[in-house]
Amino acid sequence: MGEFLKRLAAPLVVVFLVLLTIVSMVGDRRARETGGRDLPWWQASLLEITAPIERLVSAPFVATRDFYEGYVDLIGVRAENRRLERRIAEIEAENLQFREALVASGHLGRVASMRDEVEIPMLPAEVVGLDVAPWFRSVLVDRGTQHGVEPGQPVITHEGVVGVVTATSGHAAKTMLLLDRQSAVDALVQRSRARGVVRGVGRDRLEFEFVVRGADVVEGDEVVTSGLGGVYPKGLRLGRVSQLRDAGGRLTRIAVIEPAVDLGQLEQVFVMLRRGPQMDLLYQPNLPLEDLDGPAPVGAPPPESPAEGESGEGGE
Amino acid sequence: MKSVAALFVVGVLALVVQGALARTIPPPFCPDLAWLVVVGIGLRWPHFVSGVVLAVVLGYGMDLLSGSLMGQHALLRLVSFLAAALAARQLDLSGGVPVGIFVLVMTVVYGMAMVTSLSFFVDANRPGFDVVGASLAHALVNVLATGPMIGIVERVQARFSDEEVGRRGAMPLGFDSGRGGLL
Repeated sequence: MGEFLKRLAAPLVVVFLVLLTIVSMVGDRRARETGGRDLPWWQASLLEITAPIERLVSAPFVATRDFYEGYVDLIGVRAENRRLERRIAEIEAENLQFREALVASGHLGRVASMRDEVEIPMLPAEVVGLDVAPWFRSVLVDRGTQHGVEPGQPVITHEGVVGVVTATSGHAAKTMLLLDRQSAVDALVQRSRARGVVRGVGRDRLEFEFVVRGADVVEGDEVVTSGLGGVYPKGLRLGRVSQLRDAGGRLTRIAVIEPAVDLGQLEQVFVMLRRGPQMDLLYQPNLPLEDLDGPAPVGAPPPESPAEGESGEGGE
Repeated sequence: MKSVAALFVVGVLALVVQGALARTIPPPFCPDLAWLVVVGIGLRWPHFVSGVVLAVVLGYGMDLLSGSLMGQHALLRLVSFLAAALAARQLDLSGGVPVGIFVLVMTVVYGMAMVTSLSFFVDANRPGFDVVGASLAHALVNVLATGPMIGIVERVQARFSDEEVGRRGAMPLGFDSGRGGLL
């Protein structure tokens, strides 16, 4: 009997472990359907330990890369500087015209009154780790539940949408990028308001699937979040249509989208701690100086400038 | 057991180094060091139960640092361990070339299984040619890293194991642990 049980031990262990992993996967899937989860204590503890270690170990690699890229970036910096100076001058002139027009039409007061709606607490966070598996696209950021981060909160940069928080521990949060195969976002074309779904396909491009009938989508169109789906607020920039193709003769077509954010070079991101009702103001073309200055300084929510009544461009 | 603890530490270190490499090397070209440790354990480790438990624990560690469903890597690492253990018993994996071929094939199968299982559990695209291409690129990088990683597993085993080593008498060692490279 003892010998029999001993021989049975290995298969039993394997069966138990297989069942355990399957139960874990089903549980995780359910948790994600309900907007993500706080990790159980043992996973959270491991993540708490791993995040700083990973940051430490990757520091030399990142420093080497930054040094090289910094050197490469220096090439042509003078020409770039002149171009940016010209652009600043143009934008300042545009801003002045907008302001005068707004004052003249009485819209400035209304734009200022929208401040409360637009003001959304943003938490700056640093990317400390990238996905270790090539089949998934996620990042680890250095802010967690202790800082108010919760699963289901959108993560953005000044350029557009990055992804959504899927799991949190005290001081770290796992964020699924738009590029991940599991990512799907309800979206619309900014120009024609054609609606569809933007999906990640595991590569560096996104796919925008839309119904052909009545849809007006052309290359170069800007695609933004629709606000439906319950995760992302309306009007956040997702990317630009770079190619159109058939989706196998069905009623739908697919537009290949170039993501607005360079998701391979993420360093600093912002977690939106609360979603606002109206975000169209934040990601319109001709944004003021953030466009040129890069991400807003740490601690300052970057998209507040429209609410200052400085510009108010494209509120409609 | 000291040797089990040592292999666990090696697996975790492999995961951390892999995470650091992932920040500079694009996804398919970053070797899956932690998975190679699991394969090394499957090929060289004589204790089945502790090996299978190690594989699953390291798989959960991978799940934690990846966007996969919790348990997905754990399950596939368990399968990888079983395949490696079976191959070590049934096949003549003498020399680096057969082990390299084994790792190449297993990496491609692993990638396809990962994407297929994902499409089974969530509404994701089924694997296409792009997955095969990425898997092949990933497999080639994994093959290059196989020698050193299995060499490390062999060294740890030789250093810490106070029990029977090389119980799989029929399984010849494929790597020269002294040089840590393909023979």
